[in-house]
Amino acid sequence: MSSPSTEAKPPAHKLVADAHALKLAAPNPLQGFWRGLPTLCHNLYTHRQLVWAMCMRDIRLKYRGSAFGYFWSLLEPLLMAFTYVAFFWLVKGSQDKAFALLVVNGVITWGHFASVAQRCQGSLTGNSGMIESIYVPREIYGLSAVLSQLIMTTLSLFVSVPFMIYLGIPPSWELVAYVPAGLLLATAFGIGIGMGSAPWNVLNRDVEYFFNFITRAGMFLSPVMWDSDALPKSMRHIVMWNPLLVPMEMVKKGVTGRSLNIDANHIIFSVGVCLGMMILGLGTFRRMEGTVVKKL
Amino acid sequence: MSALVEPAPLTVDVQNVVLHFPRGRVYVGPVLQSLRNMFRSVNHADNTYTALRNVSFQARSGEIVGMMGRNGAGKSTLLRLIAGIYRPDEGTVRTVPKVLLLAGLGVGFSVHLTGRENVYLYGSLLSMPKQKIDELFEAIVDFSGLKDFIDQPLKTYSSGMRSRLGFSVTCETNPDVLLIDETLSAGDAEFVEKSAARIKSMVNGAHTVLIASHAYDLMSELCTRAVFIEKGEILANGPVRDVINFHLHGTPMPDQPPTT
Repeated sequence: MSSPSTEAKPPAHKLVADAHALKLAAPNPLQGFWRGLPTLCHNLYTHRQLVWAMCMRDIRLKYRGSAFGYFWSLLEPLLMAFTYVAFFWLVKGSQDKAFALLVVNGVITWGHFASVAQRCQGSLTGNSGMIESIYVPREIYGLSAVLSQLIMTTLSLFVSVPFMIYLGIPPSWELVAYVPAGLLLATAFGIGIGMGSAPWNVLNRDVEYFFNFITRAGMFLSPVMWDSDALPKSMRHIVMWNPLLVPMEMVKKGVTGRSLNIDANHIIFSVGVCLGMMILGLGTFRRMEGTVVKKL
Repeated sequence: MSALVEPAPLTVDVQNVVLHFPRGRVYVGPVLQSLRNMFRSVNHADNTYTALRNVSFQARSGEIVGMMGRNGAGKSTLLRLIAGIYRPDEGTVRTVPKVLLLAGLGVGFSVHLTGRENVYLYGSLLSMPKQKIDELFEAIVDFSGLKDFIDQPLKTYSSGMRSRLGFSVTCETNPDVLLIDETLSAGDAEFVEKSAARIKSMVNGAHTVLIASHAYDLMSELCTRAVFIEKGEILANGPVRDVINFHLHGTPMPDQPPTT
C-alpha cells in the first residue's frame, strides 16, 4: 500500500491550473472617486521603477540636440527675468535691490506650475502610443512628467545662488522651509488642474489652447513682477483669492530670507485650495480615463 | 475518465461584453450633449457606436487562437479589451496578470530614443527589474537581428525593423498571454518564419497567443483554433479550417461542442 501523502497529491498540471485560476482578474479594474487615491499611491509604489524610467526619459529628451543642454534650465529663467527687470527699470526705476532675484524666482515658480499643468494635461494625448498597447495605471504618464519637471525646476532654482552671494543674503530658515513648501504647493495645484483637464483634453483639444492663454494671462495676476506687500490693502484682499499667490510668495520670500507677511487665513485658504484641487483633479482623471481612452 | 483530460487552465475569460464607442467629432459628455440637443433639431441620441455586442470568449494556456473577420468587425477592439486598454461597458473581462498587446509598429516606442533605451523603457513598462532586462537584452537583440542598429535612435529604423524589435521585445519578456494584431506580416519572409516558430515554442511553454490577421495561410498553419467576428459578434468558434470555410464559403460550422 502506498503512503497516503503520495496518493493525495494531485497531478502536476492540476496544480498549475489552480495557481492560474486564482490569478484571473480584471486587467483594468474600475475605481471609484475616493477609492482611487489609496490605489494610486499603491500603484505609484509598485511602478516606481517605471515612473523613474519615464522621468529620466523626459529629462534626457528635453534638451536633446541643444549645445547648452541642461544649462538652459538656468539660462531660460535668467533671460526672462532680465527682460522683465530691464522693462521695469525703464518704466519706474525700482528701488528694491533684490528685485531681480524676486522676479527670477517668480518666473521659475509660475513656469513650474504652468508646465506641470500642461504636461499633465497632455499626458493622455501625448502618450497615446503606449496607452494603446499596454495597460499601466494612466496617472503614471502625467505624474512621472511632474517628477521630471520638479527635478528641472529644482535645478533652475540654483540660479538664485549667485544673486544671493552678490546681495549678501545668508541662507535662512525661511529658505529651507518656504521654498520646498511653495514649490510643492504649486505642484499640487498644477497636478489638480492638469490631471482634471487631461480627459477633457482628449475629448476636445480646445482645453489645451484655452489653458495656454490662461498661463500667459495668469502671469500678470500672480506675483511674478509684483509683490503682495507692495500693493494697497484693498487690492491685497482681491489678489489673495489667487491660490498660487501664497506658494509663489513663499518661494520668493524664501530666497530673500524675508518673512512671509501674509495672514494665516489666506495661507490656510491657499493650502486648502491647492491640495483640494489635486484630490479633485486626480479623482476626475480616474473617473474619466477609461471612457476617454476610446477617443484617443 | 474525464478527470484525466483535465482542461488546461483558463488564461482569458471574456463574459457577455458590450463595448460602445462614442461617435462624432467632438464628444462633450452626456450633460453638454443633452444641452446641445436642446438647441438643435437633429437627434443626437444615438451618438454611440457599438463595437462589441455580447461577446463571450475564453482561451486556455497552450492555445493559439486566430481572430478572423473583415476590417472593422471588432477584432482589434476585442484584443484591446483583453489587454485592459478598454474597460467593458457591460460584462466582465478577466485575465492572467501579464497580457501584452503587439500592434502596429511596435509597442509605444519613443522614436527619439535609441533601440537600447526603448528596450529598457519597455521592460520597465512591464515592471521588470533592471537586472532582468539586462539578462534578456542579449536575447532580444539577437532575435531581432538588429545588433548594428541598437544604439541608433528609433526614428532611423524602417517599419520592418521596428516591428522586428517590437516582436522580439514582447516575446522575450515572456508574457502569459500575447496578443498580436496584424503585425506578423510587416517583417520579411525570413523573420515571419522565425516569429512563427517562436510563437509555437511559446505555446509549448503554456502561454496563450491570440492573433488577429488576414493572412489565412499563416493562421491555418499556426493556430489551434479560430473565431470569426462579424459586426461585433462572434459568429463561429472552432477548428481553423471550419472557421475559414464558414467565413469564405458560408459553410455551416460542424455541429460539435466548442473547444473551450
